[in-house]
Amino acid sequence: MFLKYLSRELVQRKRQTILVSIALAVAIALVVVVNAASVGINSAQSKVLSGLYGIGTDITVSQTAIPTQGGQRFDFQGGGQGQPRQRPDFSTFSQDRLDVARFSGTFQSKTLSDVKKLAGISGASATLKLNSISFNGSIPTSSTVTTPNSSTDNSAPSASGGAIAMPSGGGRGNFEITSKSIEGIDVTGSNVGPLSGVDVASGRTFATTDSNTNVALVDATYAKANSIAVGGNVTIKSVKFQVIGIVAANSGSAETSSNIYIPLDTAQNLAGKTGLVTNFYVSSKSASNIASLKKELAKIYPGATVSSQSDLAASLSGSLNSASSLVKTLGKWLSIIVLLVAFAFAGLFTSSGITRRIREFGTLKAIGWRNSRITKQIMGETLATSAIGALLGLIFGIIGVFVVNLFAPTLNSTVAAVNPFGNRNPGGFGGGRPGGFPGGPGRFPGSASAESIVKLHLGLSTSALLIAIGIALLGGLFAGTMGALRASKLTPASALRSVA
Amino acid sequence: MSQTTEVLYEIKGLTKSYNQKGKNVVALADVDLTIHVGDLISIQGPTGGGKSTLLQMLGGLDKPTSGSISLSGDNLENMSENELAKTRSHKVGFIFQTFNLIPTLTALENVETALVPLGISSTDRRTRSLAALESVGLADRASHLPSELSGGQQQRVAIARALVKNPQVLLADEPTGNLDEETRDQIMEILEELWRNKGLTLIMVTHDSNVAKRAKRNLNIANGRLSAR
Repeated sequence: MFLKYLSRELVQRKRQTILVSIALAVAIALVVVVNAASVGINSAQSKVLSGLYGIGTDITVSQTAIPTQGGQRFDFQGGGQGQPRQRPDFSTFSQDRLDVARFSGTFQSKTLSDVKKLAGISGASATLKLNSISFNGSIPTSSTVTTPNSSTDNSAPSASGGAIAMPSGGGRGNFEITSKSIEGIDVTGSNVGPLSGVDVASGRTFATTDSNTNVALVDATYAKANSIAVGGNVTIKSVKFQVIGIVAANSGSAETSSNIYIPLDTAQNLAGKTGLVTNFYVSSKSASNIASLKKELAKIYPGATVSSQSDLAASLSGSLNSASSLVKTLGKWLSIIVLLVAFAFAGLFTSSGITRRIREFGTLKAIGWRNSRITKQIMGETLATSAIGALLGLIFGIIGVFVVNLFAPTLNSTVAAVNPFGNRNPGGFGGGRPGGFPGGPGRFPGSASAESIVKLHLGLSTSALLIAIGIALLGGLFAGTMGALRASKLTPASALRSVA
Repeated sequence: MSQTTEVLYEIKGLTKSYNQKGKNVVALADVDLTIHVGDLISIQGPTGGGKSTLLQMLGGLDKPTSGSISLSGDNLENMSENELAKTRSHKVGFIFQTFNLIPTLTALENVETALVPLGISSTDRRTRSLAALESVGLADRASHLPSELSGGQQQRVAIARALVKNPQVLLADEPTGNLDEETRDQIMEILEELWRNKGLTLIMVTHDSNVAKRAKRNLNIANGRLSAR
């Protein structure tokens, strides 16, 4: 009888059923869409950030270098590779420098084992970020070496490495400075780090057998700009590396975090940085562990910068950031307000329905129905209405998400003058030191801002859908409780009298 | 069937008063009454005199302010709401002036609602409800909604609902008040026939003298005070 009575009430009182269901459905749909937008935006942010340091990385550890006087310098006086070839007025030089990337400090790589011992870690790896600068050209022997104007350097940073050709004539030298960012990668395999955010466009990625060999992966953009292909060679500090693969960012970023990737031990030997690394990448088993892991890492590396994705997300700007703010503030409050209105609507409508049915409940009490049975009936009806509302809400919500994804709005995001490990640096490179070239244009960590364009893809999560259903049923429970309380308070006589 | 000596209701000093807008309104004042099994009683009186209040007391729908009322030896005034509900579900059948059928349920389902508190299986409920509808000549309208039935038919469904559980007493509040004369007579004939054949006690509140004169015992109530006519 319970189900028969319930179904008859829902069907016969269509108007009430439809109005309450629709009110709840609209609220639920909004919750679903806002939640999906939040998931989508978080995913977009992760894509942007993973383009910088790899998918799956939760925490990075880096250290800002202590500034030293002089900076990077080329020695044009010594012999060997840098020895000038004498000509009547000019000396010709060809030099390669390989140094730790600007703004980066180094750690002992053996501390990685301490990191791996921490509880709650699912993976950890270390890299050595280097910067290779080559100088080729001639300078007048009779005059002071001309330092490239630092402001010129800053004004035109290329995103993919490159060269600066200084103008000749007028007694000035004719030379070219090329630079590229190099990253030493632990080839023993890890699911965290820069290469977890890339796809192999051609060739292959590192294998454990590549340890201590002269093989390299090259960023696709850099490879295209420099006509590098798999099987070809790249030269770092006069050492030739065989290109085994071309890699491309699998996020919206145009480039990967470095121009060239080589085995870590090879990089350490080549740069004379044996046993040293610049960055640690750590992934946590659970998002809830990240805060405590950050504290543990800060203890292991006092003075280092320990950053999580949420820290880096704060450095994002652009429409992606605006959308994130919109969802987090307006979306959240709009959902709450609409839910409250829907709850109030459902409650008032149920209460009004109870008022119209006082005679009915009085009659049922008169023929022997207990209050508990009438309460159960009312709760059943409102919960069923809510379930219909939840179902409709999910359908509306999923359609809404589908429609948004169909148009796939694009959002841009700019990582403001920040190195990929969270250190805000005072903008780009340059700031040349006397007699030294601070580095050529390229995508250095800590260089000028990088912009990414990502398509917003709203994501549905099972937990969000379950929460939406729960909210709808909660609305039904609320409305049903209100109605049942009213009905159970009525004595049979007063219910029948009120009709009279 | 005629009146027996077996007591169904024993009412002593029954008083019911309400607090209405700060004023104490006495609906029933010190009523003494004994009703025997098989009585067919009419209660008449002016509007607001206390007829319906007395009927509600008899049906355990309300509790007295003072005095006692027993049904088959059970004191209703001391019962909890659940005990009263159980008594109503087993012993008392109600018929209302406005029929009070559940508008969303069919005639058959309306009759079935009276059997729900008794914990009877759905098959038995259906069988007994169909039999009850048949006894009032409405078996062919079993699947009709109340809105698809005439006033007389609706009242017959209400009678079937009241009778299906074989109650000891049938309490009818203006059972023909909303019906034309011809239908009124049809309903009264049904009630009288059921009273005669089923050993029921029938207590009717009515304004209609034609209905009242069918009763074997006539009571009058005015200003909460009961008297025999």
